[in-house]
Amino acid sequence: MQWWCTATGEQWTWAWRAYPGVWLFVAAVVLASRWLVGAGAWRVAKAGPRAAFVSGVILLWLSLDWPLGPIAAGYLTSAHALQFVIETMLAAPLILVGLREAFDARHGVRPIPGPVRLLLHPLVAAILFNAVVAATHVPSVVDGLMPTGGGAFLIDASWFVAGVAFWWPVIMPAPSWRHFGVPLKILYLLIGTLFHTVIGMVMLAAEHPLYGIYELAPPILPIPPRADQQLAGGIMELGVFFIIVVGSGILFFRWAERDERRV
Amino acid sequence: MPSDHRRRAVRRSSLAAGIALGAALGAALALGCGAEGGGRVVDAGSGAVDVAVPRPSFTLTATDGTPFDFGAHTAGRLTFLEFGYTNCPDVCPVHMANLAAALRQLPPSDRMKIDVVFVSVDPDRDSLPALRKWLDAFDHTFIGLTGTRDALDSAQRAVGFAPAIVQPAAPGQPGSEVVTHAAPVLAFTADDTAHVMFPFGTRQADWERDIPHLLARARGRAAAAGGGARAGRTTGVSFTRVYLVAPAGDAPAALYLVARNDGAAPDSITGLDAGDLGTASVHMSMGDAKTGTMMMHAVQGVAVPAGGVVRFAPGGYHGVIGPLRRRVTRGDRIPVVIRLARGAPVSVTATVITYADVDTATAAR
Repeated sequence: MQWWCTATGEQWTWAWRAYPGVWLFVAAVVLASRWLVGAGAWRVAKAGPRAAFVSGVILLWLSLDWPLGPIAAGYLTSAHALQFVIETMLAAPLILVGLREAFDARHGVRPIPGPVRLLLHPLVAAILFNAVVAATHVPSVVDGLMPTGGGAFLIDASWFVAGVAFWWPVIMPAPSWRHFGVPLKILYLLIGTLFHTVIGMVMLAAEHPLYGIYELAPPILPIPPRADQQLAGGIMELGVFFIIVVGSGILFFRWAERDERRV
Repeated sequence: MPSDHRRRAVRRSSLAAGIALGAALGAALALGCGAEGGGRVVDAGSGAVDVAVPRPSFTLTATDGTPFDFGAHTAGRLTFLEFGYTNCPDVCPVHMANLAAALRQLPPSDRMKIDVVFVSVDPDRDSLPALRKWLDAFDHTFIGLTGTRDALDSAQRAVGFAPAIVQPAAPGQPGSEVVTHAAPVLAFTADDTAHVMFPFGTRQADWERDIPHLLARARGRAAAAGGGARAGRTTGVSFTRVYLVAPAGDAPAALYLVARNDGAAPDSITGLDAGDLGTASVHMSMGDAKTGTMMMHAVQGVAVPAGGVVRFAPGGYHGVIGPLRRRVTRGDRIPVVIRLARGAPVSVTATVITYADVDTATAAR
């Protein structure tokens, strides 16, 4: 039994496999969330945030576990891209949306320790996120890490953590930053994900498959590796763009609504 | 090269692959190793393995049901040879897909100088239509061969590979045999020797980097031999008045020519390549006494006797290209490669004519 989904090079079968590391990771995310907001806060949470949190956790689990997890780890670049989009652009923000009110209720305006505050500064978070995105899409890094349990875990976990760091300044109430209002948040989302566009374009335009593990994997679909890579590029481009547009739209309309109420 | 995954994949390709590799390497060492003059026939950094395997001669059955003499049909041409089976989960489809993708990047004039021959070592499950269908998913020009187990074993031994091992199906699971076979693809160049073989793990970029080197070797050989003749073989077949008749609609196009053999030895035309224009083959028109109509039959070879002349003309031998993948119009010039049994393939240029021009163009002079 493998503890985490890796690139095995074995023929794909639809026989279910257990990946206990995935269950432990998802459980750890739930426990960390509980620690962050406290058990009591969770009990009084409204239905909306609770649904967002549960959806985020389920999406995180589905993206990491069988079948998407192993397919993304060793068979299809497009599945890898889909997993990336789910982890960083859906699961991470949904979980934060679910925690937002409870976090606010528990911590209020209590100051956040310096190092954590620095990590959650929009500029630092954006740089960290893009650095992780860049590093984890370098072909030699992917080919080197995905065949090992530790390496594959490092990539998956870093995506989720970087996703949380990226969305934190936009969704969470603290730490608060002067001038970082809704217009800047929208700009932050658009500029902060520009690097995805570059990676997506590289995947779309590359003359050869970039990643050896997917190029040499036993075929799972009747599409050549380069077409699969182009599909991955499309998922990176359109998937992220769509989510950022929806996220920015939500931010804008809530802002406009608040403004209207004030008036 | 990626590394662990690739190394594992190569390991996974089984004991027989290892034996085959060892045997081929042994042959390479015994024969003084790969490339002549101490240099490699491929890029110095290529992951291809140096060997020295003479182009073998074995006859198997092609997917159209006709006998295929590997040595005669591919002589003098850059030929990639793989032994595998269509139910192969990894090595065979990955090799074929990557090789096909690399070949698609070549200009048609280079592409038509290359044969890819896939020999199925699983004749019980790989029927000829099944093999053809599987290969067509990669490239319709790939040549598929199979035969009896004895013939297949001999063919594999001829290139230094251990014969494939077909492990019986698990009880209650008919058709689930596992075939353990040699994983590398042998690359025979114009000098009728495979100087390198490509192990599993060869990527598209590797193929694209190495194929021009292998083709350059073919060009060097052809030039050294006087632009057509293969070193060590006497042939003097030349072609003139090569015409392609523009068809109506999507119908196949007829190819007419005059072949003249000025050499001392007989030769025969064994095939045609029209690159991306369409599948090309040699046919003969024959009268059907019962119906009074003309019938067309594919032929495997057209003899060109020493000192003789053969005409491809209406009502007799002719080439058939198509269905055409692109429209041709009068005056177009189409590169065609004519394969010979003895001599190296000859590149010619066919001028496109219309049906109205046929009589004039093909009239005996």
